[in-house]
Amino acid sequence: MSRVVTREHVQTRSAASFEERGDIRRTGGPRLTGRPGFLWSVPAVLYFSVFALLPLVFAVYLSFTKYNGIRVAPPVFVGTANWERLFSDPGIAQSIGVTLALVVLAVVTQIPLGVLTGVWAAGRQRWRAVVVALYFIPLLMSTAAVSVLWGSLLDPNFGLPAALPWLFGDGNLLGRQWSAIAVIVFIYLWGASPLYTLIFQGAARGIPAVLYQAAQIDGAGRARQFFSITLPQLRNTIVTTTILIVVGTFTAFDIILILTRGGPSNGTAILPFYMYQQAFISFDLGYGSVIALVLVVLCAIVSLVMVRLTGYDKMDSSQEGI
Amino acid sequence: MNRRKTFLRTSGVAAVAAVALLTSACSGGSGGGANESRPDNELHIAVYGDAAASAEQAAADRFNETSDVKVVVDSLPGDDTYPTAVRTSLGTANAPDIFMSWGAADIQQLVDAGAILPLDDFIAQVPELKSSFLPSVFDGEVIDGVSYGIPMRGVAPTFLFYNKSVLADAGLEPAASWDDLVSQSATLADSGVIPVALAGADKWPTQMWFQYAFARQIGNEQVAKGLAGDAEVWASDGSKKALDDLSGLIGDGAFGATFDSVGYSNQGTTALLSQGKAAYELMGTWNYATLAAADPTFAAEDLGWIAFPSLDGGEGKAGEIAGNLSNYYNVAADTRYPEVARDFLKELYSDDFVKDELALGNLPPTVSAGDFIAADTTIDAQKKEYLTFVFDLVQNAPSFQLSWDQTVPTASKTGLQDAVAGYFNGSLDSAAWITQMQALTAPAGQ
Repeated sequence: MSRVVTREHVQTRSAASFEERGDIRRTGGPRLTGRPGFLWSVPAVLYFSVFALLPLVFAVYLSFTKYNGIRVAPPVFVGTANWERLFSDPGIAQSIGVTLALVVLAVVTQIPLGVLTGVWAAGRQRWRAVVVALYFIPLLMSTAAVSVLWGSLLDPNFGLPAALPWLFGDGNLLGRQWSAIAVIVFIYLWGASPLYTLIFQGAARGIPAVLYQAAQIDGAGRARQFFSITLPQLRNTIVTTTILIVVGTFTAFDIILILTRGGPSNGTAILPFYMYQQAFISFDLGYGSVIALVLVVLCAIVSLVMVRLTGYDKMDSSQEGI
Repeated sequence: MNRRKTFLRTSGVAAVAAVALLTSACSGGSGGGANESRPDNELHIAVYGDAAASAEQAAADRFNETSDVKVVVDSLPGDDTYPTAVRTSLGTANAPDIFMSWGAADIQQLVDAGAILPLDDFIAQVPELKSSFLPSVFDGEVIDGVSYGIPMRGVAPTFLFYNKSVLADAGLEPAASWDDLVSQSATLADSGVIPVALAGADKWPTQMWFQYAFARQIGNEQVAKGLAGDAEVWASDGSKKALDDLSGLIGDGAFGATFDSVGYSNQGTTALLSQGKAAYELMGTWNYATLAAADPTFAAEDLGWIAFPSLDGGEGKAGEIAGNLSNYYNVAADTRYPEVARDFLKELYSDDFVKDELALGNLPPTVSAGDFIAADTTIDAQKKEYLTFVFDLVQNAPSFQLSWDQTVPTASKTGLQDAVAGYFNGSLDSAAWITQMQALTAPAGQ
């Protein structure tokens, strides 16, 4: 049996199955085998249309209007004025920069920690289960409560910075852009990485023990086993998790609203927060929609690039031939 | 196939952001006209659901004892989602007949949309709807000579709160002038105390310092002109002097080094002042209740308050104040029962309502409030002293400038908060700040 299933191979096989299906239909009666028809996708398509496409289309419409949220004064068409503003608004460039920075930092912190703790947690000793259970606690807390909690913990006069000046300096963590971003990244890491640990734990447990046994016989140490077996075997999980983190961070909002309010000087105002400010504080829903669409496009581009680069769309099994 | 799915899914997640926009913008109803689509024999009030809502509930209960059309109190969450909730419901079957607002700029768009009932006819029929209230407060929702709101809830000017022990330990008296404030800051900072607690993380407390620096240096009248779009006010020498006054204080460490990480909503400055780590805080009247709740012993023994100090050589009139005038009740243009709404609004200057507000620690914006404070035997001595102080402050003020972020058009609100915060943290110099303010206050269409 070939270890590598080529694309041609797959195509020939599916072509063959079409023919088989054709045979079944010729014999009359309902189709009993084969792939699900369009009908199966109706609930998903309907759901997606109502809750994603429809608002998206409406946001496109709003982006060409002036509307301040008062129903009795319907949106007024203003042409491309909102879109022109996009290119003269220094806030949007800063916001995109902050958003991308936060996304990159979230991925490079959460993935390694998730992989390491997940692989560690995959061990079956009971004490590990206890530690892991404790580690999962942040996952159970509401983000709003967590943000308020960390806000108090990081208060420069009464919180950790006052107790540990050697670590936090003057304690003005939320007063400088990069330390404020670092705080947000840290809280996301603390709050979200248990979820990824859980995913990686499951994935790591799915790696066949026989691989490690073979590697041991070949004299591979633990580090070599981790890099040559565990990581490659987790590849698809890493890609999936990365997409989750990227999309999750792109649409992050709550911590920023509660902890920094986009400050200092909009240094943490990522796109969703910027959109909220424009649409619901300034009541400029036209420009708010423009920002929402920028977010959609940016998110789509990033996920497309990721899918392309990682080969996620092929989704070859990492255990082919085992 | 997989790629397309992933694309659709991820863009779908992002599109959730747009759902909020949709839900807040679904088709509108029609405005105007007494209308049968509104509930029969009910007058709905959207109450801002915080601690002060109890007085409004009580007013509704009293009114309902004699009225055939019943007032129904709908409590909305008391946070910044309130204006959105009101905006999006007006014109629908769930719209309130009466709702609360924060001043002229807040209701301007609603007035433009014809969603608010002008109250001049009501006032012609019942003159007390205007004459019962302090004129400086009532004028807060008069637009182009037309009255749109009746004041309710407390008047909330800002002034200096201080910790008596901290000042006494440093051998200081409460600052009487801006120069005092500057010299005391040095003394206090040397003794390891943050001279002034400032909740910079919330941004709006920072603007209070601008409001007084400018009131003292150029006067509220000029400030009002500047906020109304006179660009020269911001570029004037007086404006630059006010900015220099502020940067002097900041540079001397009057606010400490970490004010941008300190919040008011999480009680950061409350703790600083009550625990003696700071000497002063510039804040609104509500701070008394906040401090008393957080540390009753401190509030009873060590809490002091004074009007904002004067400035030698400034052009502002003595005693000019700034802060929040009040909240107002507005009537929806399409209410089914305008006469009932008018009669209910009379409750807002009734003796019972004034007493209830005083009991909550709010100073009602009625001319009668002073007498009630003096006559009320249920209020303890300190609270009475406090309320009298605030009443006199407002009564004697030659002018009362509404908070800047509530004076400028709604669209400029966050920009203004960012500008004041930016000047304090050094990301904007005075030239950049002036340019920002000119842009933020520029009349529409320029």
